[in-house]
Amino acid sequence: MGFIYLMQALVDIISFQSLLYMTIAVQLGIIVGMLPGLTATVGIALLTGLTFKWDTGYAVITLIGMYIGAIYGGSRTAILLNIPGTPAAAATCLDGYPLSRRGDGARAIGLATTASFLGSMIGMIALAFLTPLLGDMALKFKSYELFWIAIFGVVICGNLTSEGDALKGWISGMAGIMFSFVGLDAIQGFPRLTFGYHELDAGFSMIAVMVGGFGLVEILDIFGNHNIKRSIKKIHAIGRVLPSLKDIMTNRVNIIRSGLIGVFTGIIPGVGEIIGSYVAYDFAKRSSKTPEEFGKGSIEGLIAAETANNACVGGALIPVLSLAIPGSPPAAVLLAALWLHNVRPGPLLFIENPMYPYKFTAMFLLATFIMFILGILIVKPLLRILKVKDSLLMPVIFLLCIVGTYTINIRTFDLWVMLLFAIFCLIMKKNRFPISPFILGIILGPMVDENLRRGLILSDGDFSSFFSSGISIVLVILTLIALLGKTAPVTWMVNKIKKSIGLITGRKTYEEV
Amino acid sequence: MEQKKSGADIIASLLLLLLSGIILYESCIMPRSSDWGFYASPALAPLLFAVIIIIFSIILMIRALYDGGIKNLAESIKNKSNYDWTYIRQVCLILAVITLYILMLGTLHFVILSSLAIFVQIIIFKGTTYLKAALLAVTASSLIWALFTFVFVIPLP
Repeated sequence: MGFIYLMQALVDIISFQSLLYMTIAVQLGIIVGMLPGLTATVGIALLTGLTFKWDTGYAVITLIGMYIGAIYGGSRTAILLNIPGTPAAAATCLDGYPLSRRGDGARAIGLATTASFLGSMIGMIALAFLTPLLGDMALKFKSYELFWIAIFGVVICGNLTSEGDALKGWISGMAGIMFSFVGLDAIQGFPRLTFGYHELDAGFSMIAVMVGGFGLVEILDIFGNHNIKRSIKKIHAIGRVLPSLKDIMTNRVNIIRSGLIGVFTGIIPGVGEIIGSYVAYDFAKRSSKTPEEFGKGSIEGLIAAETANNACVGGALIPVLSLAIPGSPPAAVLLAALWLHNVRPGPLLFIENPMYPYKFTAMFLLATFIMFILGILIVKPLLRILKVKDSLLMPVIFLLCIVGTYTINIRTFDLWVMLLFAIFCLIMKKNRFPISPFILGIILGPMVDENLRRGLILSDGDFSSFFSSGISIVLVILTLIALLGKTAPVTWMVNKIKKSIGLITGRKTYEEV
Repeated sequence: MEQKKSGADIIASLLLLLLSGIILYESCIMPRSSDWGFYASPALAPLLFAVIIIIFSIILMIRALYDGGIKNLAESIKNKSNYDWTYIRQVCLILAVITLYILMLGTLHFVILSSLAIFVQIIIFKGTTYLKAALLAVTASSLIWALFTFVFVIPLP
């Protein structure tokens, strides 16, 4: 039945205008993805401002196109220049660039495009089937479960994005939750932490926070490092880009495994495509018959990384639609954009607008096909864009950040918010506090606050209600595992176990490959 | 590298304690009782998370002190060459341009102000010649203004 709804939704959305917007958005996304310093998150944030006054359907089509195009686009520079255009393409460099260096650049791009397409298809299938299931489960969530899932999301995001220092990840997440309390509280309308500024009554504008925290911060960092010349190595000549069916068929198990890894990594709140691609790469290496080839131009490694990072896109959108919890930073911006367009993702979406998940999946499917076509057909002309200097490109991107932020509420105050968060996030970045849990905390803070208080009101102040249901207990246990698993005694014990079964003896880290 | 981070972590934990302290104070002056009791109070969540951050900040500070943070901090203050002054200067420069730009929005036409801002940024970072920088600045600003004003019909400042 779901398949019929999906086909019906696909037929409904296909029109000349939607195909045009989707094609332009995917192509822009590929360009954004190619350019280091610009990420899918920034691309979606900028497009949100641009499409704010559009019809919701066309706006969401454009944003999904940008997301899929940008995640794929990062593979181009990863393969040709050994510079990941987006963080998601970092694992692609490991084998993509060696392939390009030995003259197989066209083959690498063809494989990366096909792997991205297949990964995206796996993500789309997961989105179509898992979203209604998770949505059904989410309808059973009461205030207590919603509170715990938001806390778990922030904690796990802090764990996985903190480069080995989980404490800083948790601090970032909790600080983000605190910043979300600024404004009128949802239950009693009391102005909290506004210090008399009425502009803060509605809290911080989500788009201003994200453009500042993910976009402007990169511009400031690039300008700060301006004296470090990013060496644009020679872009090796590439021939015709065509996918090889033989390579794909030989790697079919790798593709399915990497796709599933990408989907399940994407579901974890706030984590993103980079973790998915590295985990898939690791699994591909462990199960390969030629692991020594990894890092030297292994087709398996390239396919694993690219399949997983695009599958992650579908995975990241599953909790967006079913729980209103973003699975990755770009998904976070997409969630904010959906709210701006009066689409209310979350458990109630399946009651208020039950066809919307199918419509959304149909847009995803369309974007995937367009990404594949553009990825194969338009390669060489785009390579010229890579030669544009940062000192010419970044000022224009800065202007787009200003315009994109201003157009949401048509007020200058949001520009100050954007600047403030850019400075704050830059200081965080330089002191190795991860930004993703901070932004996730700001997004999930209202969920934490409202459900904590609503739960206590309903239970008449009885805290034990937060531990009463099976789902709550599971979430509490997962949160405790995420917290305690990073303490020194547990880490020491885990390493001891790993060593004793030989998993880390003689194993190289990714940096050494 | 670990030592350098521990000095910065001490400063970070002090700032976090300050921030949490402010939140704690503000929470205490929010209404704490309501028809539904204290747990419905707008102060509950800020209070709870301020306490959580205080706990985490204390752990961070203890860890930093254990890693020799005080010594590292004293050395950093004494030896100013530890800082990347070029980076700090360039970031401050670009922040000054952005701040001035936002302050002046609405006083000059968007195209003129934006062209100036882009031109100044390109010249500061020696992107290209003056003429090319001016042409790029005016073209980009005009295109963006025209796109928003006539195509998207969104007023710009």
